[in-house]
Amino acid sequence: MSTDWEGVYRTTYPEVVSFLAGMLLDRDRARDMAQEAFARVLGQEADNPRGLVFRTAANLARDEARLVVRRKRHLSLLKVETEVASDPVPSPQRDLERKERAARVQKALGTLSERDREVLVLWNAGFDYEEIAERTGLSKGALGTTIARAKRKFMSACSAREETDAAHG
Amino acid sequence: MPHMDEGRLQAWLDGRRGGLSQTERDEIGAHVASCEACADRVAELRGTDAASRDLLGALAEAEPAMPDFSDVVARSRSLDSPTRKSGTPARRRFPIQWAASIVVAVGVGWMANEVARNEPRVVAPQVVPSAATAPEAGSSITDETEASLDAGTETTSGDPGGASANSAPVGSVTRDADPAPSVETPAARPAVEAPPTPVVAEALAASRQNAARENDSLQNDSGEDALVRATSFGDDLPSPDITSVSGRVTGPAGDPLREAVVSITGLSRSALSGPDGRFRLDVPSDSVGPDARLQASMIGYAPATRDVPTGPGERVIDDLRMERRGVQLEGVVVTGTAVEAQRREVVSGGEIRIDGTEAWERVSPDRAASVLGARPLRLPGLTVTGIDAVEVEGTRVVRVTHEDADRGIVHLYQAGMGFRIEADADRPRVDRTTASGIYLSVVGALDPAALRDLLDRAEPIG
Repeated sequence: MSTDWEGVYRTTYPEVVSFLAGMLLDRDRARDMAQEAFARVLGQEADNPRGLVFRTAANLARDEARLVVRRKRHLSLLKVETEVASDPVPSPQRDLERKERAARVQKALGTLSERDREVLVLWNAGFDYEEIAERTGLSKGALGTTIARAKRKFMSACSAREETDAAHG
Repeated sequence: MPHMDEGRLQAWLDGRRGGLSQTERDEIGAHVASCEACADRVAELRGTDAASRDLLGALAEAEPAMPDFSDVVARSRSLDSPTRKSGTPARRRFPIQWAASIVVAVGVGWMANEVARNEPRVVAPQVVPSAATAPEAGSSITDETEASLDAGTETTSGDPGGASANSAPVGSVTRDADPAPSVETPAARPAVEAPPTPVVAEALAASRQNAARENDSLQNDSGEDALVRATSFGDDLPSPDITSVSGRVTGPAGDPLREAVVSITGLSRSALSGPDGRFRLDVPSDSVGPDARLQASMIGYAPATRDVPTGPGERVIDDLRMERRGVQLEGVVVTGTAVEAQRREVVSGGEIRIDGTEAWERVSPDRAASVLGARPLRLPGLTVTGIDAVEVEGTRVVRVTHEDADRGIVHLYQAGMGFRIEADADRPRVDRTTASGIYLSVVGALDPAALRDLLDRAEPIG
């Protein structure tokens, strides 16, 4: 039995990108890294292809995070804004709304502490507590609390964003 | 029993990936079933789960067209990688997109009943469905690791009295072909004494069995629900044959209904209908029993059902036409919204907590309304248009109306005291409970006349 990576790619790629965007706060980098992750797993057999891809992506992100300077975060935030503002492709209203929403979400993620953000994104991607604990260095027993709090902060940041955006335009 | 702390409830909600033992989960489940305050908390957490997923899902939704797969192939070639076999029989993974965009009303009272009905639970040697769990194997990634992922899941999620007989020695994976940046080996891998037999075949058989055995996700043993499952890696049940059921959900007049939940009885998968009422649901063909029924459900409508086409391939079914149903109220609670409304403060069931402290303050409905009303409140599919404080049957509540008012849904948000507001078509009812958590009760699905009547009787305050 071998894995149909192309099929996996088609169905999982956007999720992997958004997962990485959440980890890295840099969407362009996330796209590139998503490709990298798929390139690395390609041809392997996996009973849980999705798990393998996400895990590989998480490893890549972590390695990257060790190198990247904090400054990058701000750059990427600016980038998101530009992207939304100057999207040259005439897209239907719905696309625009989506993009705006995504930009808001990403900015909101950027306001979380690194730990909260990582936990939230890993949790959302489907990692279990044990692995989240391993990856973040938190204790497994404390994860529930961290997750609950991170969700709340995240939602709150999204709401605040929405208000700001509404106020400005 | 003392109340459960939020972290434990969250872990419980996260089901098998939450790292709790079966015993703990049973305990918490039993407690939640009998403790209204904790049930409230659970409802709130469910709401934040769904809303967070929905928001994070926005990132993926906005992703423009993906680069061609050949790019990946080319890139893979350029990597210095070990020899790999190329693929033969295609396997498909189940779409889980739907998971990203749901918030559904979950009746707390109802849920508690469900839980109660399923508790106490006999912890017998069991096969843990991989469909409900994130894989356990650590970060070292090899083919072998992957092959034993599912089996490994059983190892740790089986818990006391659980599936240890089926467990695989995940800790002993090899690392040589590790294609990913290598990472520390999972430190806390539980010692496993089981024979190293079960690999893929058994794990697959197990997960299949379970897919079939696993009933309505809402009747699950823990708070774990379809959402949780859907986002777990374990959802990748390998199966050669997929039945893709698609169709459309409509209202009585044939008008498309969006955000109806379409599910198949006996399976934990479901989909939401899109703006055009269309949905698509991919399920493993062999998991669809002869009695399986496809069901569309939505607040305010009677469920519509159809037989599920059998056999693999694309199956289009006739429109699922839903008739309005007057009231479907009891304990239907939309959660998460108040939390979403928080900015400087966390609003929760008549209590406002300043974020960052644990001090809870009871506030007046007017105060809550002013906090809630500071901005439009958003629920997936619902845009709140008005928030004010009103008096219903002598009790001051916060009224939340939204633009979907033609569906006749209004939220009455009880603030200030431990009341829970419910209503039926005839009259709003206020039940005194010990509730201390969040309650945004949907006084849902009243027909427009009843709704008007209800609102007429609700007196604005101030």
